[in-house]
Amino acid sequence: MEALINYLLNTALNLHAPEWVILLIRHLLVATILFLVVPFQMLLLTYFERRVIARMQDRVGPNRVGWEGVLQPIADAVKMFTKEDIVPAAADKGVHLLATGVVVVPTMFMLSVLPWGPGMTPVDFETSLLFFFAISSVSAIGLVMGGWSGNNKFSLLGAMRAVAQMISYEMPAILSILALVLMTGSMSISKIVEAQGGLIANLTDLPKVPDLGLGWLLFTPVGFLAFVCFFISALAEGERTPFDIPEADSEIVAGYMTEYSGMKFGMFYLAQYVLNFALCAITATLFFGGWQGPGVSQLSAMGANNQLFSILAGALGVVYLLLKTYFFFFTMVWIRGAFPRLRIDQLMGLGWKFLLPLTLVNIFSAAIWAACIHWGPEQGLAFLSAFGPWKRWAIAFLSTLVINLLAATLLVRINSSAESSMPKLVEDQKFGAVTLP
Amino acid sequence: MTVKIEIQRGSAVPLSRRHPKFLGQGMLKGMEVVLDHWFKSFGPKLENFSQTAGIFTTEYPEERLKLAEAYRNLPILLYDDETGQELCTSCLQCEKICPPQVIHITQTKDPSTGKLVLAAAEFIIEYDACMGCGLCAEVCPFDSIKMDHHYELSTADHASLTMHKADLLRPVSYYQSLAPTFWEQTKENAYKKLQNTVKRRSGLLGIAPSMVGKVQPPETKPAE
Ligand code: SF4
Ligand code: SF4
Repeated sequence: MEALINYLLNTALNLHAPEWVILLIRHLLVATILFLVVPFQMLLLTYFERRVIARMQDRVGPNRVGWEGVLQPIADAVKMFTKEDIVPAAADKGVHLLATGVVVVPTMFMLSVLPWGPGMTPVDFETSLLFFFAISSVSAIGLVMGGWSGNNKFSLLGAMRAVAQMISYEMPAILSILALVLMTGSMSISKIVEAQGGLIANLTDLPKVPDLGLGWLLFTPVGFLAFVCFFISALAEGERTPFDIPEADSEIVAGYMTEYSGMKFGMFYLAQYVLNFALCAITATLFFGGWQGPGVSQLSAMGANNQLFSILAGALGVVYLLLKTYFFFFTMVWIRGAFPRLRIDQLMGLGWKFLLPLTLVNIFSAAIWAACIHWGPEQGLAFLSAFGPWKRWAIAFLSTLVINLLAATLLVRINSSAESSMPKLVEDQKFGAVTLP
Repeated sequence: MTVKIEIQRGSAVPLSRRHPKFLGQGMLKGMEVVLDHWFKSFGPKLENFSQTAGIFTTEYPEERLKLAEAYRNLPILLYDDETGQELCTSCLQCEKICPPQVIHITQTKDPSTGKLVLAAAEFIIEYDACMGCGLCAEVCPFDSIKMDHHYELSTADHASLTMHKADLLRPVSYYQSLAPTFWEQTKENAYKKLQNTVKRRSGLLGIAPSMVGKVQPPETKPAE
């Protein structure tokens, strides 16, 4: 991209623009594209979700505005804009307004570090994974601001629930990601994606596998367990059913959004869908190879001679990423269609008593994986270098599989025995005689 | 497999869930059911309500459900197709029974004799306040007032909802098309009574305004 702008400004127009101007233009362009993509994605996602969930519930869903209802989100947006903006008299008005921004902006930032295609990361730096999760927690502050400033008990309850939930699920999410960092040896999202070429096993582990862009981390025991834990945590963080306790429209109206109306409410809505999109995209990126897929690396290799092929590779990569992202969003909707909401104690129990220990064990297996594959005599494991790469990979695969399976079974046992030790409603009793715990 | 559970008042129903074979079996099963519904929703529309998966939405303006014969919306008045004679005798039964009192009838006087004739000069139903209870149709001894099946009456013009006799009159054949079996049951009685009524009418009195000119007024003069 820089080369293109450089060519346009300096060669074609002969302006002698310094490098910083080119960089500035490049970033402005990328930011504009991102800011255009985000609301568009949000509109698409709301429509997508409503149609999909409707069909899951044997309904048709919105299909009146435009062809098959595709313009429905636009109609909704117009409705949002024209609604009266009500701020409660007792509200803290400054905070009330500011909260919307604090919630929306971080979600936009999250998209800036995603690798959209080969070499298409808007901002690429070494710790982008850390940045992604750090910035995503900022919106928790916005939620508290929104919940507190409205001066409404439901908002405050919702905000407290939201923050409690976000904090307790941030932990397993980041721990499961940490396993990936150990395996790939990088904290840069684009490097993690690049490491997922290959077929079943990735190229850095087994150099000789054909590069079909299918060396997804999901196909390793560590990656699989990390994926399961991460996706559950992502559901909780994105406040999706069955973890939509902060909003719980049947219990506390709409949680922290209760006192918002019009476009301010729309901003929260936007933030939520963008967050969900970002979480789906990062799941696809970290575990399902992001833009990796059959054909992308071949096309970019051909791009060395012909610029057209690298553009094609980029386009194919974006298509792969979006397909995977939409698949995960579909899964989110699917889960929403299937399961009821958890109770708050079940939510906390799942997070702290099940996911957290599981992800800790997973980090241990990830360390074993990394040791089996990358370590050698320098680390005092000279016997490992005697094996060929295939053998090392097999050892890593089997040992981590055993550890993870054992850990999962054990944790299920522990958690379910704690549940069964609770007094139960005795079967076949008259209601009058039942003693509830 | 369907399990029939008989629930008695005051007793707890034991729900036995078999122990899952593996972790998350129940959840996966639930997701499978939902996905099954999703796939089936792209299939053909359901025909009857015993089918449980798939779309059964009737998309209203384009598709309409067939209305039952006993469906009732708001009342209309009937007249005979051939003679144009209205069935109503202005006996005021319906006006009396109407709970919200929205029927207003003016009885006809013979201009030459000044005596009452068995026909309504004006018959007003305020459609805006009629609640569609159907009591008027139940009470009418002459099967003159019947409940219509037409329900798309919404309008921005409030005054147009005050329906006068000309707006209310429909031929018997129209009602027959709505409720053939009901009309079959009551037809004989209705026509017998209409004949008696017609004997006591004269000239154009009691003939539906839209039919005036198209039919011959009855020759029989009312008995003095
Ligand atoms: S509609 Fe029937 S009940 Fe009403 S006045 Fe006429 S004949 Fe009587
Ligand atoms: S349907 Fe009921 S409310 Fe309407 S005119 Fe007849 S009696 Fe009155």
